[in-house]
Parts: sequence; structure tokens; C-alpha cells
Amino acid sequence: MIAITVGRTFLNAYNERFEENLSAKEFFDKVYFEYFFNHPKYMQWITNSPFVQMKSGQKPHLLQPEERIEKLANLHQKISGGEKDASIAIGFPAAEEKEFATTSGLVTDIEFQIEEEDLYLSWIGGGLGIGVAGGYSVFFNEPEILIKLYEGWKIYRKYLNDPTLQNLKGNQINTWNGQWLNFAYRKRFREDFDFARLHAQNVFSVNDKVIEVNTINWSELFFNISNKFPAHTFSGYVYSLGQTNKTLGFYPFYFSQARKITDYYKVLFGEQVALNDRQAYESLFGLHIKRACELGSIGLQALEPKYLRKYYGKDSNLKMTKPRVAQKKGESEEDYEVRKSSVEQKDYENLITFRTYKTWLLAMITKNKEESLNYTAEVAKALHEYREGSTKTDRKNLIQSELLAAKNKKPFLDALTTLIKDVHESNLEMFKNLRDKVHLMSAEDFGYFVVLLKFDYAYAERERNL
Amino acid sequence: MYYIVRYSGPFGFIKPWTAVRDSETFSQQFLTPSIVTGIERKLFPELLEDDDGEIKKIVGHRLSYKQISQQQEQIQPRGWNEKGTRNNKSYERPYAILVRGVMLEPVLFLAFQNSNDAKIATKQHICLSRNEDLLYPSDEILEVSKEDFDSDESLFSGFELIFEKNEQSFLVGYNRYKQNEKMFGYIKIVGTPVKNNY
Repeated sequence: MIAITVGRTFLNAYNERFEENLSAKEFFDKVYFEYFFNHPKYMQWITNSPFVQMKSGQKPHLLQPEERIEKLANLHQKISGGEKDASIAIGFPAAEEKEFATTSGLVTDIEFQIEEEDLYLSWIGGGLGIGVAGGYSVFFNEPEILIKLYEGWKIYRKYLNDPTLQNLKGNQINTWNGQWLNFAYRKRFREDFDFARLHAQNVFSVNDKVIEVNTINWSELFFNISNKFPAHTFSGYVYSLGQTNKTLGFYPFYFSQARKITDYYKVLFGEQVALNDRQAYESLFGLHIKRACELGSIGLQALEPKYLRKYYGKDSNLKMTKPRVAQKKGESEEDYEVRKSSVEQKDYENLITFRTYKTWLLAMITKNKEESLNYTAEVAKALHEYREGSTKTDRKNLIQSELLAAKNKKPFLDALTTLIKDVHESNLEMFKNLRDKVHLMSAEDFGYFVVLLKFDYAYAERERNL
Repeated sequence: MYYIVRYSGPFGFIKPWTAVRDSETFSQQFLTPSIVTGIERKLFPELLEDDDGEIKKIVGHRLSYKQISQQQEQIQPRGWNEKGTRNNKSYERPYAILVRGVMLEPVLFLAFQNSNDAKIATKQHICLSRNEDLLYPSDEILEVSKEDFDSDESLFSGFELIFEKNEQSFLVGYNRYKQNEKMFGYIKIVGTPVKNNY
């Protein structure tokens, strides 16, 4: 039912922008129906709605224009007849005239005042949901975003009607909205684009049978919306309508916190690297949308990189050593080059993973205060110096399986105490400092700190082997 | 001065007004005006006389929790379905499963302007928002200024819906205490409301 609100915001913005004065019903007839349903391929598939209910022998893609008008008339009729179930109004409960469905107990018994006009608004809003990976969509009740989505409708319709794109699937409006918004808010967006450019940007997946719109990761979209609205917080409504509905509810989206990540990335690894890695890291950040919603708000914390959690404690470690590839006996020059570049590609991906993790952890640690960004890297360096002071493996083990595997402060400080006894004088001050720092850290910050140190330690190993 | 009572309990679940026939519903993380009104009427039943649906005593709230936990729950339809013909008629209410995202260990602060009201409130439990989700009061009343309640991130972290209409406001439901009038508000967040340590 929130779709009504979104529809209304959009229609007001539309009327203002194009100096029109359309009612919801007029807009539905003149614009929405024309784009969404008055063609062999629909843009949206609403189960059981008049548009998809076929008489015997009818097929949606074979309908004649007058048959489609008839379907529109059916919808009008049902609406004016007072029907308002899920097939007539978007986001409403399904009808239960024949029998109570199992989930009927969740429907409120408050009698809402819902006008006919509202039902048309629900359709308009329904076409403005932004699909993200994980099977959920988001509503932003923001005029500027909604108008941008409307511009995207035209483009999706153009491609659906393009005879050279016969295999392009219809009914993907939400998925399209997500990709379109992401594309339109990119930093280097240019007006003159075509299908090939979108395809190159991974908007579509193409095989011999079907062309589909890919779903966008919420984090990518989040970074690109933050280009446009760098200092804003919008409240987004996360939901899924379909065979069964899902409601995650309202969450604040802190777009300013995406800037923080980008800024840190630049400071840590340089402007150029930040630019080159951009596409790769934007999709690496971000928990599953459902996990993100569990955190209560969408911002820095929800941007936690995927798979980072497995590095907490003893379980896993990043392998950062630089690969050495040598030509094997009997291997052709060509094979060698292929193998080498694949190893290098892998190494590059590894590096990006490291950079992503490091950026996020630092952003979390320094959330409330200014800290030196290089601190953990310096400690990691000192740890290596300590380790190299012995040829046996005892120091290595102490660092790797006790100090850096510590899940809370106690074992970390214990290991540090052992370590400090043998530390070279030049590093003594640093380790004493570290002890004091850790002592004062909150449990939460310590969690981030120790993994960050672990990654920096692995990275320092790579540097020293050069 | 604000007089603040802290309530806590194992679970809480607030159904978003937009949830209909869902297979999965997360808890809303803020209180709407009608929920606050409801809690108030529970604490001060005398308000039910000549009730005009206005909020009279609670001047602010703050809700935080440990995490959202997804729990499966068995449900049935709200009425009986008739099956079969005249000779072998039967009535049934089939079972199904619903996933609820429930708040674990919610903590709710309620702010009162009157110390006497706070005193009465510390002697009672409340619910959030199902009658099995009991929240119990702590016996201490915190006395702080409005400014401190709004800014102390470690003590009063949480979500609060501010019942005002501005640019950030959104529709949060219909108030059944006031002829289903539309309710608006925006989310204010103080500190880190979800304590997610791992």
C-alpha cells in the first residue's frame, strides 16, 4: 500500500516537471498503460491482474490492440466496482472471497479510506520499485529519483520494441529500474549510449536463447546514488511482491557514508588506483540486503565486504605473497603467457580484496575519531622485524596463531606480553604503545583492529619478499 | 527535565503497516504515534476516560536491540473454510509457516515530563507489540535533560520516530485512535542502535 504514496509523489513531480495536470487515472491511461502494457511485450507482470487474464485462445504476446484496450477497460471496471485486491491494486492483500488463505490473519481489520484514484496511484508506484540482488526491491519516495526512473521506462520500452532484440525478456521493470538508476547516476554518464554500451556495463546478460536484465548489487547502486546525493539520508522501503510477499520495512540509507569509503580508498591507495578499482570494489562491499536490513540502517556497517567474517579468529587468513611464475619445461611461449596472465589476474583480485577489507575496517575503527591511517601497517612491519629476529618458528607461531588469531583482548594482550620480552629496543616503544591502545579499545573496535592487523601483516610479508 | 524509564525483555515484534499476507516480515524498529498512545493507555488506564487519542505523557522514546532473528511461526487463517458437498462437509483452518524477523533483547526508553508519571511507569510491564513480548521496567528512573537524552550516544542509543512532518518524513500508518488519520514521522538515530558484536 506504500506504493500509493510513491505513486503520488511521482505524479506530483511529473505534473510539475512537464506542466501537466493529470489525474492518476489519466496518467495511467495515457502514459502508464502505453508504456507498460500496450505492446506485445509487457514491462510488468502482475499475477491475476486483468492484463494477464486471458480468454481461451488468447496469448499475451499475440493480443490485438483492441484486445489490449479491452483488458484496460476490465481494470477500470473492477476498480470502479470497488474491487481492491492484489490483482487490482499493487501491494494490497490478495482476495479471499472463496476462502480464507493461510496468511489472511496478517491482514489488518482497519477500514482504510481508499479512493479509486489511490488504486491507480498504486500501479504507478508499483512501476517505480528498484530491484536489487537477493530478490528484494526498494522504494525511494524522492521526486528526483522517481523522475529519473520514469526516464528509464522509455528506454526499456524502446529496447523491448526493438526488432533486433527479439530475445529480450519483458516484465522485468524492477530489475531494469535498478540497473538504469545505477547507470544514469554513474560518474561518467553520457547521454549518447546504446544497447552495446549497456551490455558492456554488464546491464544485460546475453546468450543465444534469451537476453535478460541482470540484477544490480545494492552496494553498487548505493555508491552511485551517493554520487548524486553525497550528503543525503533517504529512507528506503525494502520489500518484495510476488507469489508471496515479503516486508523488510523502512530503513535509513546514509549516502554520505559511501563517500567515506571512497575517500579512504583514495587516501590509502592513491587517486588512480581508486579509480581503476572502482567497479571491482563497489560490488565487493555490502552484505546481503537482508543482512544489511538486520543492522537497522544502510550505511558504513552494512557495507561490510562479503566474506570478511571468515577471517575473524583462527579460521582463515589472506594469502598475499606475490606469485612467481616461471616457464615450465616443454611449455609453449603462448601457454606460458596465458597461465601467467591468469595468475596475475588472480593476484590483482586478491589485492583488491585486501584493499576493500582494509578500507572498510579502517573506516569502522576511525568512525568516531581521527586515527593514523598507517598505524596498523607500521605495527605489522614491526611484527615482521620481530619475527625475523629468530630462525626458529616459535615467533612466527606466536604471532600467527596466538596474537593475530585472538578473538578478544585478553589472549591478544597475553601474547603481546610474551612478545615484548624479546623485542628489539628500537621497537619496544611501539609495542608498549600498542598494549596501551588495545587496553583502551572497545570490544567492537578491537574486533576490527585485530583483523586489520592480520591483513596488514600478510601484506607486509608480500612487500618484504619483493 | 526528562524522567526516563528503561524497559527490556527477550523479544519484540512490531508489524509494519504495509505488511499484508506476507511469507516473511521484519519487525519495524520504531514506535508509531498509535503504539505510543497504546502503551500510555496501558500504563495510565485513567486516560481511557474521554479518550481523544492524543499522546499526553510520553514525550519521547528510544528503541534498540541486539539483532534481528528470523523465526518460523505456525499460522492459520482468520476464519473457517468450508469444504466438501452437502453429505460430507467439513470445516478446516489449514496451517502455514510465516517467517518473522523478531528483535532480540529490545531495550526501550520512555521519556516522561513528570516524575510522578515515571514512578507509576516503573511499576508496570509493557508489550512490544504482541502480548507475549513482555518488557519489564528497571526500578531506577534516569533524570536527564532533553539535550542529553537526544545526544548521549552510549546511554540512549536507539531509533526514535519523531512525529513530525518534514522533508524526511514518511507515512507510517493509520491511527486507529483518531479515525484512521494518516501518521507521519521521520527516523532519528542516536549512536549505534543495533549492537552487533562478533
